Amino acid sequence: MQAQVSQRVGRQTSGALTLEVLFRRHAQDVCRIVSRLLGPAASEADVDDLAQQVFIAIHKALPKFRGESEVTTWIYGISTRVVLQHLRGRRRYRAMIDRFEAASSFGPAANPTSPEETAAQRQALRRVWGALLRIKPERRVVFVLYEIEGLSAPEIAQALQISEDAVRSRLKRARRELADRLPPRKEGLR
Amino acid sequence: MSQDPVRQELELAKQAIEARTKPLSADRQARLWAQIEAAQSQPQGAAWWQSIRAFWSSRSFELSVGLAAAAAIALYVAIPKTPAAPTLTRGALFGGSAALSEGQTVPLKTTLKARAPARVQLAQAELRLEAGVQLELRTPRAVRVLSGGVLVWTDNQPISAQTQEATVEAVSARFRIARTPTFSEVTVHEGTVQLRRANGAMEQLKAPNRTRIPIEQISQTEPSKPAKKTAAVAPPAPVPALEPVSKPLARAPARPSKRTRKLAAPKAPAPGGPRTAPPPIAPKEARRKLAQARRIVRRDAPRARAMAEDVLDRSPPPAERIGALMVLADAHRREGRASKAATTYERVAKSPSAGRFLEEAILRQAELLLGMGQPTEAIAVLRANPIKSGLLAPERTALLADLHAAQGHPDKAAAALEAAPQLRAQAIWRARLKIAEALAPTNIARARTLLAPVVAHAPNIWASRARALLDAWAER
Repeated sequence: MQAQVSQRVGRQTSGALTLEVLFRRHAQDVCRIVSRLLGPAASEADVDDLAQQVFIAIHKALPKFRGESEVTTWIYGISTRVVLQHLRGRRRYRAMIDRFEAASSFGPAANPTSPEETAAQRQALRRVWGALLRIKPERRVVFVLYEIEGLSAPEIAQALQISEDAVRSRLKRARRELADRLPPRKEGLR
Repeated sequence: MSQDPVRQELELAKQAIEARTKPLSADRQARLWAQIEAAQSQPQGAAWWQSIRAFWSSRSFELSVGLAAAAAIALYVAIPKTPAAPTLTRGALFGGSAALSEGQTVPLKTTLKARAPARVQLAQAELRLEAGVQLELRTPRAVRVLSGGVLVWTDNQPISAQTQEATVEAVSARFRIARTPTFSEVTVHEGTVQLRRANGAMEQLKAPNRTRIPIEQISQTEPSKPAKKTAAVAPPAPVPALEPVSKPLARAPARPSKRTRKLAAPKAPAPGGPRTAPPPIAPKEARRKLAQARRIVRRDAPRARAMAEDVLDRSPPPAERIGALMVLADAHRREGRASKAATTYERVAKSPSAGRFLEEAILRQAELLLGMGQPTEAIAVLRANPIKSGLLAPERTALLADLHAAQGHPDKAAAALEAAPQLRAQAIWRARLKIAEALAPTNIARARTLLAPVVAHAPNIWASRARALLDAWAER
């Protein structure tokens, strides 16, 4: 359903694309993207603040939006730029890592009726994000957009306004760094 | 799962992330929207001053003398100083242009062209010119916008601002008037203005209000203008040129359209026979072409229209046919052909395959009919297709309420809003405020009821206005 709506919005012309319409359709998407780019230690307030900045940036960029990409791709790009800008402050970035490391857990799973979150999942989340946070933000966001959000390389290239080669290069380096930084496991995986 | 341990860990981490993804609650969404609206209303003034400072420090204000006229009455144009503004520097003379210096008098019928945002003081009004605007100063209290936009502040003296499609007269108001290649637009930010359309229709616009007038409206009242456009697509024109092969090239109009070239191409094998129908288009190719057309329709509407027409000519499947009609309608709208656009949207709305385009087609058709001065027909369109829910339900409901109110039926306008109590959106809050004010003189109880959801659910920017109205009515 969401994909169909996004696709339809991508076909609309500027007259119907107001900030409010975009908010109604994509607030969920923006909050999800921001929280995933920030990591599991980000609080709801952090996510809301950045989501607010994303929509303000969307409002400013809306007159220039020419429909050359799907609206969702365009929103991914703006969200990523806002998050990257937020993370560029070294103090802020450091605080985020400290908060991540201090967190003993990341809160309960959202849907209590879904299959119970396994201990292996929680452990993997901590290990993977602990390693990801030490990767350069530009590489990390490409990794997150590709591996977790499921965007394709051309979509990421369009969203971030970089070449596909740059996407692939950053992805490869992020994977290599992740593999290097993930400490060896004490117990095997199932 | 793959055997790579890193990949396995990543898959587990992804599962954990998915499990933690919470849907956005309605309260949190409302709170976030309120923050966005509040943030939007604040920084504009600061940003505007920044741009003014940047303008004074780097660019000159370009004045181009358009039509020569005897300087019977001089217009005093003063560029007011900001508290710490640098001294205005003179610019160079080029092509009949001159820079303005402070306090310089300007003859009538002077066209101002601003490269960057600027401010001009006019008698008792202030004009804030947007970058790129072309503005003609006609009298000390009348300006004409040729292209671009200008924000007008007027004190207790009247001012008239016009484009080719609309004339706005205002006292003690703040409004923006703009003209683009396809429409004129009036946005009222404070106070009330009188809008007179080129066809003579008059209406009062009270803040907040935005009204758009397609340029084709002029073409309906000035028949000489569309004659050039319609002649180019008149069916007999290409036919004589088809007989000899070389003649279409020799006699082709200065800008032969793709359609003309396509008509010329297949005539060679059968000069006296009918044009062979193009082969049906495959769904995938149709979708690809339409996606491309949608991407370019904003910046190149004629080309997008040609692409949509090409798809339609090739008997596409129903879903792609509807998509092509929507692109065609959008292109007509952007090219200023309001009547054709409305007709095409109507075709979509009446098609059983309209699907997810139905709502937008209805809304667009109604907006265009309103722009063409046909509010009754617009109401009929909105009421004939009452989709209760849908992404554009707030805009459709608000438009219906506005239409009823414009026709002098605030009670019907109120009924339209009351029939959709679940809708909560900016368009609805604006409509409720406007209709409540219109209804108050005759039915204050109903007006109060209309405002109750605004107070209860709307962001503060709207709720505070509703509370102000209710307080004002409390004494009644």
